[in-house]
Order: sequence, then C-alpha cells, then structure tokens
Amino acid sequence: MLRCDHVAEEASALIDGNLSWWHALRLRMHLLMCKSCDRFVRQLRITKSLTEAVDDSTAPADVTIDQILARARKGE
Amino acid sequence: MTARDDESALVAALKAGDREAFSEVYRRHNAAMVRLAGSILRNRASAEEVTQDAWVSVLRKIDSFEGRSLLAGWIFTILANAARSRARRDGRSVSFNDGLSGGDGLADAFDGTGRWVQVPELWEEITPERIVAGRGVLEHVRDAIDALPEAQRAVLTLRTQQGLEASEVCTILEISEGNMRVLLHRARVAVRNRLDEVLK
Repeated sequence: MLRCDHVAEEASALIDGNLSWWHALRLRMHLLMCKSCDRFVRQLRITKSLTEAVDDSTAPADVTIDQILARARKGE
Repeated sequence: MTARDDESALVAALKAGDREAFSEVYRRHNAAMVRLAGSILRNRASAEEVTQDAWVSVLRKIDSFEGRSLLAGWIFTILANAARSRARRDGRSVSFNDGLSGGDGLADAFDGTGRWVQVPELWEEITPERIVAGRGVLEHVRDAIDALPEAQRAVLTLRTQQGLEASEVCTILEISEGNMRVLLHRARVAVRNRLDEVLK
C-alpha cells in the first residue's frame, strides 16, 4: 500500500501524465480507496487549470512599442 | 484557424515589420519576460532594460527564426541569454537549481506514518469567476504566483502560462527535467495551499 505523503508528492506527475502506466495504476488504485488523496489530487487539478487561466498579458504603451521599433530599425 | 496557423501568421507579419503584430507579441510575453529577467538579475530596473534590449534583438533576428520551436521559446531563449550575460558582467551568477532546497509545503499535512492529519476539503464550484473573501479566485491565484520563490515562479510562468515545452523550459532555465518537475509540483502545491486558506 502506498503512503499518502508519497502519493501527494507524485500528484503532479500523475496529473501531467509523467508516470509509467503501472505506477499510475497503483496511484489510481490508492485514490479509489483514499478519500483524502483523491480530494488532494482533485484540488491540484483545479489549481493547475486556474494557473493556466491567469491572464499574464499587459497592454503595451504606444511609446514603448515605437521606441523598440525605432531602435530595431536603427541597427539595420 | 489552429494555434500553429495563428503563430505562422504572426511570425510572417513580424517579418514584414507589422506594428500590430509586434504589439500583440509584446502584450503576450513582456510581463513574463521582465519577471524572468528579474529572477536572473535581482533588479527591476536592469530587468526592464534587458527585456527591452531583448525585444530589439528579437526584431533584428526575426528573419532567422525558422519555426522549429515556438516563437515564445525562441524569444525567452534570447532574453535569458541576454540576462545571463548582463548578470555575468555585473559579477553575479544565478542558478535555478538553488530553488530545490526546502520542502514541498506539505510537511505539516501528514502524521508520522505518512497519513493525512486532516482530510483535504472538497473544493466545490471553484470557477475563475467566483468571488472569495471579496476578490476573484484568479486574483488570489495571481497573488500566490507572485509570492512563489523565484525558481518555482519561473517554471510555472514558462511552462503553464507561456505554454513552453518542458525541454525548452529546461534549456532556458538551465535545469534538468527532473528538477523542473519538482519545482512545478511545489509551485502548484504552494498555490493550492493559498487557495485552501482563503476557501476555508
């Protein structure tokens, strides 16, 4: 039987598909029997999708764009 | 239009000197570039300067971009090389492997036999739009990402938010794939712990 702390350590590898099929199967069997680990893995899946959803973009200032374009052209 | 078609069109427009195309690429990547340069240089003003220099290099070299990797991977490689050169010139060295010290943020979650001390909460109806403690869930996530140690934040930003391949992230940060996975897992656990606190 796998220990819960070891399952938690490998939760991201399971979610990202980085485990061998045999090891992933052992973890999934553990999740079927362990409510705590099952909930933790669900939480980590939600966390992964939320981190993907954070908008990391910034609206550029016109002056900055123009400065960079001018510098790039100067070197040609 | 697929993401690849979209990227090909964007690269073609950049090569043609299209201002709107450059503005779009800048919008997508600049904030993450300044943060990565800041992680290498540990100085906000230098990070902004190096990032602007990197953009100039990107535009000057865009004709040599052959599309063998994602445009983002190519841009971040140019930036990381520029930031490292600057750090070396300033007599500083940075290793993202340093971020592996310390635990994974779950030390207190288990008893001596490796069992959970408390059953984790069942997170229901967690959507990006939900308001918790007066703020949107995504704002809490953004704060948690900002508070991460440099190496964890760099991996999470490049792999998750900028969508780079694992191999590209490893090359840019000069870390092994095993270390990248550990850092990504710890970053997710830290964000999960923060959300768990605000959701209680």
